[in-house]
Amino acid sequence: MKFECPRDLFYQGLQVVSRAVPSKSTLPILSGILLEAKNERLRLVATDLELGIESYLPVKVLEEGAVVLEAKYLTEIIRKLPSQGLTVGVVEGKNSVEIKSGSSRFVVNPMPAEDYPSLPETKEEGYWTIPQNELRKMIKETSFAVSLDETRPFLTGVLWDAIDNTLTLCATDTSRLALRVQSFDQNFGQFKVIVPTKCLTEVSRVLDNSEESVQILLSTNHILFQINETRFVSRLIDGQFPNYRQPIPTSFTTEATVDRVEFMQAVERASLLAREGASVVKFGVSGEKISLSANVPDVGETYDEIFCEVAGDSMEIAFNARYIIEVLRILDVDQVKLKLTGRNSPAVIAPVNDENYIYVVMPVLLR
Amino acid sequence: MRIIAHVDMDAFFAAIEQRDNPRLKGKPVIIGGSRHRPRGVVSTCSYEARKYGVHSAMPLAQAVRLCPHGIFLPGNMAKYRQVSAELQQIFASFTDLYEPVSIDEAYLDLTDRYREYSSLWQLGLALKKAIRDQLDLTASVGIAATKSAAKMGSTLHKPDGLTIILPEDFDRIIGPLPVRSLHGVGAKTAERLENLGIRTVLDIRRFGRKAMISHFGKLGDWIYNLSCGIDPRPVEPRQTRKSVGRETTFDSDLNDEAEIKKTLKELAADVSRRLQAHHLWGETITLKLRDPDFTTTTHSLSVNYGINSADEISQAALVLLDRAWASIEPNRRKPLRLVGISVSNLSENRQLNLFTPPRESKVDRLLVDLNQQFGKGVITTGHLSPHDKRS
Repeated sequence: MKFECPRDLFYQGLQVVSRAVPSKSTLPILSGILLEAKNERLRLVATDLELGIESYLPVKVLEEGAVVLEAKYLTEIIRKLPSQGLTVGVVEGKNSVEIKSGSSRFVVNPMPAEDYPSLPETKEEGYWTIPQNELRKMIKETSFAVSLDETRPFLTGVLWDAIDNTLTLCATDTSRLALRVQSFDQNFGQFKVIVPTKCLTEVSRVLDNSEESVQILLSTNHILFQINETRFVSRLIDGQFPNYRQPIPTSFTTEATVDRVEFMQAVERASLLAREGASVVKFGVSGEKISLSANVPDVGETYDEIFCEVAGDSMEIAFNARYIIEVLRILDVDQVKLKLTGRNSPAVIAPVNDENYIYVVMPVLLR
Repeated sequence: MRIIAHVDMDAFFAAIEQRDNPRLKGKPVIIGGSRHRPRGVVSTCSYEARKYGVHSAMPLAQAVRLCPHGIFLPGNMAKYRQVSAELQQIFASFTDLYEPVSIDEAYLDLTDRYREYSSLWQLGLALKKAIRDQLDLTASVGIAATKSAAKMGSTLHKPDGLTIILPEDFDRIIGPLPVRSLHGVGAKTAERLENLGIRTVLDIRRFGRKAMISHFGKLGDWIYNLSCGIDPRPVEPRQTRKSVGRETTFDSDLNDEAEIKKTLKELAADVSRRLQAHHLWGETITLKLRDPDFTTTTHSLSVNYGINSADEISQAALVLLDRAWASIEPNRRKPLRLVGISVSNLSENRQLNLFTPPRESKVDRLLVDLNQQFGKGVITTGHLSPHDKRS
């Protein structure tokens, strides 16, 4: 195996696939990246057996073949090389791989390519496509709300619930829930799958704000995303996602319309005094304002208020500040609505004039 | 009525040295410095040394004179602190309400625990046995309704003593004691009392509250109260509670998976009871395992909502056990000597859940109430029943 290509192109490809290299694994070969030169293309592959990333680069193939190189050394070497052409090739008659760029030369020991696990097979047909910018937004608006609780793996991913031309993404950690509904110009049929957050985060990294399409394919146990010359194949998460419609309130006693950034900054300030663990902020919604206060034993207290439009009853309610800040951070709007149903019952944060996004959060009951 | 125990370790530093070096057993061991450079004072000495009249705070030089063949050691504070930490673990296994007074002394509020024992005497024996079994050291324990009575009790039968002072026995046991045994009565006060003809605790009572106040002011009121067995001071844990945990050492090292899991469920139920009694929710669950050669490992996981039900805690503990065992083939697992569960990252505020109603389960609540009323284990959930074959 031997190929020639610009350093920048190679480095970009390595950066994308190396995200799937596990930090530790019982299978030593997984610490490597598979390089396969064939048909004027270099195929890069990395996998942790849950998520596989595969990327094709246009290179000048001098000799076809494949090797696996330790990801840690390979990416660091290429990162430090100057931005110019380089060659990577097996040293003739030896079990070593040479990386050359100008006067720099590295010889590294490869692992056998035939030992590298193959990515799950997926049929090349039956793709549906959605624009990159739409998918990116949907992932951003939901994936932050997943659970980190490994005892309930089905909550650590994002639910994809499709029916006809509507795709719904939903994530919850059971204390809060983020939901985005979106219609597309195509028919998805009907399915419900739970996609690991790690896969969506990595897909998101390569998505841009363009309307170019992402091809998505579903098989029984896997989901595949193809973006240009890069594919992500991820195992799906088994398990029964909770009925996410059930906790979404439909009527409210109090509604405040508030500037998103002003609200976010006020909550961030109010959470400053928290000691380790969650910081709980009390919200008083009444008249023309929301008051924010926090009282942390042995540390101190804080009070703030923001003026806004309030309709309905006055209400005192407490939330984990993180749950409020996180959603305000990812929403891309000027104004949001805070809608309350009672001090022990779910509250809603939603963009003004967007019926298709909803964030539901449960309050904290203060002692 | 409150039930408070005062635990006072017997010749703590010297006993640790004797424990760790069998050649010192039965010998007069004096901790505080070297025989050749006898400066400073005796910090502790073994009971064998006390026979020669040596006692704590005595100048070393004098101790050398009284007990010339004694074994004088400089002491190893780091080691003693370590043992003291282990001692506190034992206290914690009895109650979260323990107040260390010094490195070798603590008060325990056992009001919520004593009904689990057939008598206060049995409770005291259990406490002493736990210390002896786990640390190979002896303690003197006083159990009473107040801190001061408990402390007086622990000093009455040293070493390895156990004294129960019920309110009805207070006058008989404490009444004849010299005034100096009361907390707050120092040499000076004792002398002034003596001048008033007051020598014993009972004398103070006869003297009367008004007279005590007129002679000693606020202190007089305090001393009078103590002489009547009145001492409202609560047992104050040193800092806010960081975790609630429970562990158990098996009678013999255990390899039976079903048995281990059943024990974990029992421990989870116990931890849950205590969390609920204190109205606390925790976010981190830790499983502690110790194998026969005393290698201890801990495994933790965190959730982002507070939990305190027995089901949630035992579920997490079982996940952690699976994780701990994941890399070991079943036939190569070492048996376990001890298992423990603790819940930390505690909060009194409760993050409500979207999918479950914002009330603690009625069954859990009922269990807490019944067990508090009738003693631990009077009622439990089905899978913990000893007659259950499924677990």
